[in-house]
Amino acid sequence: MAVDPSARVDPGSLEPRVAVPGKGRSRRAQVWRRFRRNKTALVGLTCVVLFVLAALFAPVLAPFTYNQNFFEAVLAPPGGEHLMGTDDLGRDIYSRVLHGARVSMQAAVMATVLAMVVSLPLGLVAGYYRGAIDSVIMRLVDALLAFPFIILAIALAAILGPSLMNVTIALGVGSVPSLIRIIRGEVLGLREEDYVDGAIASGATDVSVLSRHIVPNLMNTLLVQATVMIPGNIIGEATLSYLGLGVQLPRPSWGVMLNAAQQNLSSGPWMLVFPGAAICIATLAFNLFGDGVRDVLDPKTHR
Amino acid sequence: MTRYLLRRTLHALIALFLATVMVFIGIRALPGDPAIALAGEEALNPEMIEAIRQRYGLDQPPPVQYWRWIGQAVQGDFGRSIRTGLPVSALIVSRIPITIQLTMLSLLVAVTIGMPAGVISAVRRGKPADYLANGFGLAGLSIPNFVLGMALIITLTVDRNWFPSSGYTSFAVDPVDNLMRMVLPAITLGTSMSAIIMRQMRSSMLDALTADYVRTARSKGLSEWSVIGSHALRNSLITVTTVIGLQLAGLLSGAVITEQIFLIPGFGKLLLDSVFQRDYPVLQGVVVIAAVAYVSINLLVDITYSLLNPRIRVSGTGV
Amino acid sequence: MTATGQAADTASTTQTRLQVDDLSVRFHTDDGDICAVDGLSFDLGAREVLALVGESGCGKSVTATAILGLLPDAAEMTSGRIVLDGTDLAGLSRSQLRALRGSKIGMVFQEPMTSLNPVFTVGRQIGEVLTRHLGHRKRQAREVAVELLDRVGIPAPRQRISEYPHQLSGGMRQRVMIAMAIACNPSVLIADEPTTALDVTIQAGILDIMRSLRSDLGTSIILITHDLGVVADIADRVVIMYAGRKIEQAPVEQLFSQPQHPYTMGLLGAVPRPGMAAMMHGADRRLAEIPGRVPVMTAPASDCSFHPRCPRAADRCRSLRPELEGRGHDHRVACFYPGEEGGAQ
Repeated sequence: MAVDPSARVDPGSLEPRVAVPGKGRSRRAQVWRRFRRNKTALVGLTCVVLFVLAALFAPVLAPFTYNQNFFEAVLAPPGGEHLMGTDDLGRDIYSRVLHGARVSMQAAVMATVLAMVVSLPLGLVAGYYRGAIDSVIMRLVDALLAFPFIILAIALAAILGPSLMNVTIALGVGSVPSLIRIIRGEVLGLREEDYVDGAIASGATDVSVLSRHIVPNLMNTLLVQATVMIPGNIIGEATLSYLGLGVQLPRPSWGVMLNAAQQNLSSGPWMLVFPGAAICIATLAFNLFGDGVRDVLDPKTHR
Repeated sequence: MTRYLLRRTLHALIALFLATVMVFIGIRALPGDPAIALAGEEALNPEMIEAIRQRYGLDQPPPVQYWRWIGQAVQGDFGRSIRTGLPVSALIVSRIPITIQLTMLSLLVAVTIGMPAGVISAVRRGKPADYLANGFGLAGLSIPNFVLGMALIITLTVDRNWFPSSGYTSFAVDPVDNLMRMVLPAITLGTSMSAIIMRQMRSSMLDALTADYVRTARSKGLSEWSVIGSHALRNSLITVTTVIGLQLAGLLSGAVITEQIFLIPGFGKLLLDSVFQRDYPVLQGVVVIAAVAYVSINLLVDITYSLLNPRIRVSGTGV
Repeated sequence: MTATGQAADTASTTQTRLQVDDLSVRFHTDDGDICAVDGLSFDLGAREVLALVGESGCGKSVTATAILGLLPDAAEMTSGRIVLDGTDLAGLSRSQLRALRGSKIGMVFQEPMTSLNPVFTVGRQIGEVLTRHLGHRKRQAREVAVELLDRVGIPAPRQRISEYPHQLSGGMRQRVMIAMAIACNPSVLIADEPTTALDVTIQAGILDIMRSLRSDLGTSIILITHDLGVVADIADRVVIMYAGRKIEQAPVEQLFSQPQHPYTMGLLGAVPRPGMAAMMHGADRRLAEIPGRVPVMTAPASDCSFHPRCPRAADRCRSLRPELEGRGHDHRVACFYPGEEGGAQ
């Protein structure tokens, strides 16, 4: 190897050679830099943003309302005035898919938030105080985990009655038990860390230990869990609505649209294609984004 | 080891007990008076309802009602269907084999695709085969059951008639027709699971391939076949088997939707029908049996895991 | 330096078993390349114990994996020749290379806890080497494995053979690793920090095994370590590495009595004489603390890599790279100001 000529002239210029990789950059910038390098995750993020925008601005973007019947154009194939065709009641599928994004997004995000809000305090208490209260919470969690997710959600939706809000509650509650387990496990681990011991020893109150030392360290886990739960809830909402246990007519959920599509598989396959593609793309986008987030936040896992 | 299993079993029993309490409370929280529901449409005079209330013990305090119900349930008596008058247990027993066949075929699909795809993807990390397998994994995770099912119906049955689109024939009556009708449902249900298995297999294999013991195996001059196929795979299988077991329980969820799409009269269809027909005794029985099956499978998975892992099997230091 | 000149140094006294010539290894990482080993040459004679010494991160272990051809995917051997018993390993096919590993070169890794496969019995893991290289049948391999365990000093080997690694102590596992590495009587044994994770009495036992390997079987050993007590105990010759380069090489007595490189002197700070070192078991045998750390090299050095930590550093050290030069019989050092007085040149 050739010797760097400048080194002979100015010894000071050699210092950067010894730089430790990654040192000196802020953590946030580093995380973003690593995420940016992951092309598929960027594609996912882009789709997620488009999906959110579609949900927010559905009434503006949609050429028609979701409820308008074009009786002269029932089951019209895609193209022309109706970009994605019309359904068996002559409604514009493109407009309904956009409004469906709103429903899907609302249910998926709200159910995830609900699950977090319920699980976080319970998981914290179980993991931090351990002992009897931990046993009680965990036995209840076990009991809820005794039901397969969809069966629990179906049963809850049946008990609560079909509506968008009840779907949200059913999906949210459905993922509470596993989320409590995850949070509790993390808290148990954090509880053993030296700095937590130190804080406790120096007389910090439980609330301040939890809020200053434990909750901030849970953020990565919660973020990763959210990226797993949102696509799951998108599918969950669509499934319950498809089964007739979710969003009620005339609001367009992708699941409801697919249910209608099944009655018209041969006469109007586009009724299946567009809402079906919307679910798949939305879920795929969140999964790609989630995989990217996991890679960045948890470099130990191979994805 | 034995102690761990005993504790695990005890926890499972407690979970089931609490689960039945939840079902009991949940069913009673359903809209409508169960006595009226039980009486059906033909008898709506107050005396009849009161008689039914007494006959079914609905006038008793809830704990007594629960005790009575669970006592009968343990003996296999879940009451009778409001709609058909048939014993719930007989209904369930007749539906279970159908769902078992469906889940087993799906598992076969999932394992035969997922395991090799995961291994190849890990070994060929960063190569085209890896991207292909990863793409399949993400697609499998992102396509909901019922969308895939309908897509299969529309492409393979409606126009082409390669498979019967829906319905069920008993294996005993016509095995060929039975299997032909099971192909699409099994693919529908097995695809997402194969994606999960593939991803888990890939991740475990990547962990194993960078492990020190694999480097040791290479330093011994073993062939790649034996390094990957024996040293790395054997370790990966411990976690993958666990995931398969847990997914097996999850297949029960998927079966509900798949049976609905393909109109297969299995356990899941029974559940949905009971929800839509407000057939509470059936719903109650189905949910309890589902919970029992789910908890038992998970318990078996745990036991299998500890048998596969010598660190637990031999010295008993539990997870 | 030239390959022939280097080999000639020792070929006159002993028959050369392993020759490493101008070995350079780069790691391609997300944050750019890292130059882990840069132009390293050494050779190993028959029945010789050569110690490769340096702080962690100096490229010792990378050298070992490079010799075995087991560098991780991210690493690339950019130059170098490795000759084992007269055969250039670069000329061998993958399967020929595999046939050498475990039979002619044995390797003992640093971490006895994780280097054994947790799901196979000890007997199977040792037996595997025998069936692979010597074509033993299962039963025969098991018998030989029992003998091997016995040879490395594991009590009740017949019973131990069907146990799993987690049932053994750290010292036992390391003995199993050695049994595996010597199963086929390799001509070269590479031991990477074989005693680091173990406590002192067990360390002594492991060193005894290595000594008897050399005397009974004529095995040549490369001992990678940062423990100068171990070096004094067992090594014949020492190569001192710093930031991927060899900076000093000498017979062990010579090195301990007349260290030439300031870095070596720093290392020896606590352990000045071989005789004393042997008595200092357990106490402060580790490398003496030298302030600072081994730099991560992103390019081959163009100066003396040690200058930021060197008490003698002068302008010349910051701008020019010192090459290895002879300082007495088989003693070479890469320093502009070597020796006691530091001003010989």
